[in-house]
Amino acid sequence: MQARKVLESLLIVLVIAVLAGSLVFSTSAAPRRGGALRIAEIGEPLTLDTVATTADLTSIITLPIFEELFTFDANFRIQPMLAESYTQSKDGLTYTFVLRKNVPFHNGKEMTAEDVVASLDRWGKVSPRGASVYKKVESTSATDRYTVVMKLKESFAPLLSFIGLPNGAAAIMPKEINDATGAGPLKQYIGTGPYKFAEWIPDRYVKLVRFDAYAARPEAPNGYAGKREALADEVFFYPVSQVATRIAGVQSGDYDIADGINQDAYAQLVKDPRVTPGLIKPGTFLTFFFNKKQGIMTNEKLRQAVEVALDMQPIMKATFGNPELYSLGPSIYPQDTPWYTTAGAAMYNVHDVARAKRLMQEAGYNGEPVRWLTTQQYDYMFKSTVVAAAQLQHAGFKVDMQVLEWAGVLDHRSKPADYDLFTTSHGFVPDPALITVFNAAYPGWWDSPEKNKLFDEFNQTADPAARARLWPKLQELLYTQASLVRPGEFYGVVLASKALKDWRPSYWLVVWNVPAVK
Amino acid sequence: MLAYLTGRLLALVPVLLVVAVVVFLLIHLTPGDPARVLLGQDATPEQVQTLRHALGLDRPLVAQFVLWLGRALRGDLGLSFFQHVPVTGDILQHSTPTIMLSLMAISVALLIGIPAGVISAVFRNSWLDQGSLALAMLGAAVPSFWLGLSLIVLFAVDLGWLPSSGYRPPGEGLGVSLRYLLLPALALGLPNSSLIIRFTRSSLLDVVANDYIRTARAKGVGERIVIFHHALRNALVPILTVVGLTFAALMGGAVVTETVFSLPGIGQLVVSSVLRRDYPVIQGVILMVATIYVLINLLVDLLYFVIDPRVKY
Repeated sequence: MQARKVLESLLIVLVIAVLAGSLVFSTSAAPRRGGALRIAEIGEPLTLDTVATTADLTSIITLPIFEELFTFDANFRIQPMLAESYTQSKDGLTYTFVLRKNVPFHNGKEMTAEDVVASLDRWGKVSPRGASVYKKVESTSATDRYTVVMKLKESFAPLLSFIGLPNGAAAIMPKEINDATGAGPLKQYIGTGPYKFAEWIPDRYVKLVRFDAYAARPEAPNGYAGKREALADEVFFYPVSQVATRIAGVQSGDYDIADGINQDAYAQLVKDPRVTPGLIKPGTFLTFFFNKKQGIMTNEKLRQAVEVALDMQPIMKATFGNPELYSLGPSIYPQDTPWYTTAGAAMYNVHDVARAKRLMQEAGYNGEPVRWLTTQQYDYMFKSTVVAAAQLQHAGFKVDMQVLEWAGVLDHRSKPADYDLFTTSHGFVPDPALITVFNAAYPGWWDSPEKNKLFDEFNQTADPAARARLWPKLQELLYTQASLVRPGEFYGVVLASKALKDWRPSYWLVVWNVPAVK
Repeated sequence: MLAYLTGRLLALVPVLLVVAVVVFLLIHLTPGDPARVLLGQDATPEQVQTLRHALGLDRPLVAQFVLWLGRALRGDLGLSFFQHVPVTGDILQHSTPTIMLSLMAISVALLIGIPAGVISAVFRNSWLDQGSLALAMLGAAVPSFWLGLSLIVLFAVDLGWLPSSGYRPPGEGLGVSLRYLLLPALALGLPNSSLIIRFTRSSLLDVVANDYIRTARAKGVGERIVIFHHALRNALVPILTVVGLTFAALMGGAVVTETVFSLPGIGQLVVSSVLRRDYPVIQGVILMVATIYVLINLLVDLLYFVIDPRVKY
């Protein structure tokens, strides 16, 4: 009995000690502030005007500087950022955004409705994404200091996804800067984010410093949403164009993070005790895009012949090597999203050469060369094209592979007379409406009446459940009309130093809430 | 002498004009459109057209060239399409790393090349000569990006003695700056020493075979004085040509080395501006590199005169 009492009291003491210890631990575990985050990027940004380009590198570097009205959480659901709340009229044509109060810009001025109106209007003119949205916008106006009303000409369900995407972004900047810049080059980078722009020395670095007056959201951090805290004093983005140098720099401790690591280095890096390679999920999908405006691939049967001739496993295996780094399957969206569907599977990864030959015959194919644009600037585009071209040749196609610089591919693919196929990829976007290949103006020009009708319906339907029912039809059409070949999905690799804590890879790197190593 | 100098400087004008025309034509004939690169792959045709107009790219080629030439003659190379900074300033900013790297690399090449070449010649056909030949062959055969990466792995990753890449301007401290430049200078200097080794050796052997060397030896002059005072000085003229050409090439930007070590030099500027089709920068840099090439060659010719008083212009 006595012994048991002693044991009990011992246990109580132990529990109290553990609790007290954990209390002490939790207070001492406040994240470290100070130091600098050093990030090796794949090159020099073309511009820091995140509105004017959809280049990912610009999005990554400006993500800590500029903020939008909305953003996305870890499950890619829309969350408010600079907006406090919003309401939508019954007919879906009027959106009212209520802004957060006391949010300062980096120049000290408070963000108000007139800044938001000016920023959205500039976005509607300058941004490749904004311009497509603004075709549907009637007007954007400030009704009071903190309220913005956007009126649409037609219902447009993915509006908030467009406004929240940090790419070709609807970044909120002061009205004066929007007015002074117009469609010209942006010269001052003033946002509301946790870091402010400090210095850009071409080919050396872009430097950001903590914005001390930053108005953080109260919610817990979640994906791009919630509280953002600049833990490191400074963030440096270095252009390091050689991937081997980026890797060596993280191994030696000169950089904390290196972006754009080649997939074939992954297996070795996993074993390296100095570094942690991370995969960016959801992934990017590889595409071979047909020219549907001019040339032999305007024939749907011939496009289908290409589609059914290909065996995706060897294409993805040869390109990305390690099976952890890619996945096959017809769904554009991963399984844990509402957009997951196997619609169109009958035309995905068929690998039936006999059927391809039949289709070629029906299409009247006479050995005309298939002009295929690709580039070595992105290794995966070149490798995948080489393997797929060999498969097509085996099926009886004559392939004329044209290897150009990326700038050359961009140029030629916009000219209908110049090609039949081009290789590219499409990054993950939170809403299918953002997938550019559905846009009839996108090079390759998928302009079929069925697709246009369905896509319009998809964009105009407000009810999320109804949209989720429409999406499989669109995905199916993508395969049956063979607007493109989608061999599969791959995951980008980002390398971080083992010393870096609390950092997670994401499509556009998140540098806030990350304590610096040095 | 003065007439010679004026003549050489005047010859620069047609050279640069030809370079300007050729570069202008080449970059405009190459597929690729700066507007499309800048806007990203989702831009609409109208947006591309608007930007092309803003950049003046929709004007006829001849008009664009004349406009550019007119400005260039007044020393204005225009603005970069991407950073919107004057091209001249951009080039100047990128020149410092390249000049420092070139000086260090040529020093490395000379420190290895001349002694190894002299030893080779003096101990002709010995194992020392064979060793220096092997070194020269290796230096010439090793690809510079492989050498650069190997140096990074050894000295930065494994030993941790030197930074793996990047650049610090001398304004932040000469010591720091040189630390960042040491590995690239080695990666660039070692291969470039090969030619100097071979040229020193053969040039010295030629000179040593002359009668006046035999006379010097016959007089009882010490071998060290014979080699370094009498022979080497006379052997320097062809070596100087090689060094001059090497240096001129380095000043044009060591593209591969600068890329591997991510140095913000002229080579890096050329590569990145070509990739993004920044026409004013490409034109400006090539013009400057051509000028430097011609000027360094001129300087080398003048140095012949200093080394060898028999040379007359």
